[in-house]
Amino acid sequence: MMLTLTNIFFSGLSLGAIYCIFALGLSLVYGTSRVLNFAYGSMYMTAAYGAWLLSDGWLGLNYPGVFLVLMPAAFAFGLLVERFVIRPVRNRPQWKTATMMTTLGFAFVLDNLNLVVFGPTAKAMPPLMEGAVQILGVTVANQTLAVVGLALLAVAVLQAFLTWAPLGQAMRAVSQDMAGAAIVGIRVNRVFALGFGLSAMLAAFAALLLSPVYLVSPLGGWPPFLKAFVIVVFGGLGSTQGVMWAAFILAFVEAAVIAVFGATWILPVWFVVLLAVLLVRPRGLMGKWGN
Amino acid sequence: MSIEVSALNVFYGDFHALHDVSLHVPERSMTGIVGANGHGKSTLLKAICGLLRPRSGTITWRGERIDGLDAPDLVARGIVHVAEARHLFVDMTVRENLMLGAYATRDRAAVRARLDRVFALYPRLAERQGQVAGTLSGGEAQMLALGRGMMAGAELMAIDEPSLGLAPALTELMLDTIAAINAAGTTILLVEQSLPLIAGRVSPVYEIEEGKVRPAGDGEGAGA
Repeated sequence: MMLTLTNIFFSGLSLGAIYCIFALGLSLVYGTSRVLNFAYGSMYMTAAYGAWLLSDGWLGLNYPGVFLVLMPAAFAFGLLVERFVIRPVRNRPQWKTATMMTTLGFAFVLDNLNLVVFGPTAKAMPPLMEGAVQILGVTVANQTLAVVGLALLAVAVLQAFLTWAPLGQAMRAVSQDMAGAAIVGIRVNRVFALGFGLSAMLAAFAALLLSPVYLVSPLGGWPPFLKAFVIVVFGGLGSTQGVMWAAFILAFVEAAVIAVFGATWILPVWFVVLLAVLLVRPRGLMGKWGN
Repeated sequence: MSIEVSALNVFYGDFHALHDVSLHVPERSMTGIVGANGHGKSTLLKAICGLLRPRSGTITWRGERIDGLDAPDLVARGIVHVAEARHLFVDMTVRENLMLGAYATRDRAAVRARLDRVFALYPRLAERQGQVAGTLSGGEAQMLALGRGMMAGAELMAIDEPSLGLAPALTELMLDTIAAINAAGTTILLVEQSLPLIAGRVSPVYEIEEGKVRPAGDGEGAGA
């Protein structure tokens, strides 16, 4: 029993850390620009292919090398997506629906590009770290520990950026009151672009951490996207704190469900938990849904 | 002349909101615009402050054409909008709101000096620095909106209905502080619903009705 609990704790922790960075990327874009980015999972997969090309697929770089190339590339990709996919439909009536549909279309474009370029066969990435250690009688892979450490570090860096950096404060200002941000001199369009850039970086970072565990395949971005979507709604659309709580709560639920009922029950149980939360708090754990 | 608006037309879709509006705001003046709700007061202020694109007409600021510029470009020139809805950052503290007011200012000493001025004018804000803006009372929220405008280093402050939702005594206090901001050298463009409220404080005064603007005297004694 004790062993099961320890196991649930470690797998919940590592899942929660990953869900946290992945869902934060989706939430960041919604929070700043009110765009629900359906292409997020596909952008994540595209970044995973990028990581594969940089490592085993083509250039043979090690993980630090992949990181140094992939992060700026993902940021630039996010900026381009905002500029050429989102902005053209932004200043129109019904833009919320229009941007949502545009991102859905863009998701299909990316998925099929990946399918054409890389083929239907899934790619495997080398492990981040080999070996395992014993903690409280449980065998924990070094890979898992590295993932937890790096993901939590990324979350801490993002939080520090949003709290103290002037640009981070501008992002929070835009998410709380767009008109208020414009009248203090914040260039709202640039903040939208920054949001997309950071979001793409978070997706790429998650891809880097997850690809060694899951395979890289053309439609592989949809299951994590679906989970991120549930987490973001659960936490309250656009709320960073809410997303972090939701990510860890649902991760521990998932770990417990796997240990007790088996993996097929994850999503049904998630949706029951989500419905229960939305019944009590219709805007999610910490959502405000302000404009 | 500080702001010169001439033959300005603004539309919301097919709705013609402002008709050939012309007015000027003299340098260092406290200029008033009065009119009932829905007649275009806020629209006019938003157009001047770069939050709405006029369809035709010109706006100049110290001789430079500014119609077509966005709000951040105007903030950089010292034209600051204090909105009727206040548009505060409700999850941030009073201090964070004020500091964001100075977002476009890089000179730290200037920011520091402006913060001291805001706290001198509104001691309440100094007491509530750490409080989250969403929990302020109506009067405090209005003070914060004005304080945030001062933090931007406004040379022209366009203030939309500062009396909105405030008790008469508080409104008087708010108008007194706006007069103090004006006396310290900032040009004020003040929009209100009723002339008696601001008569004697503003000059010149314009009346706005169904999107048309006409002069309403120099404000002295008018409507009293």
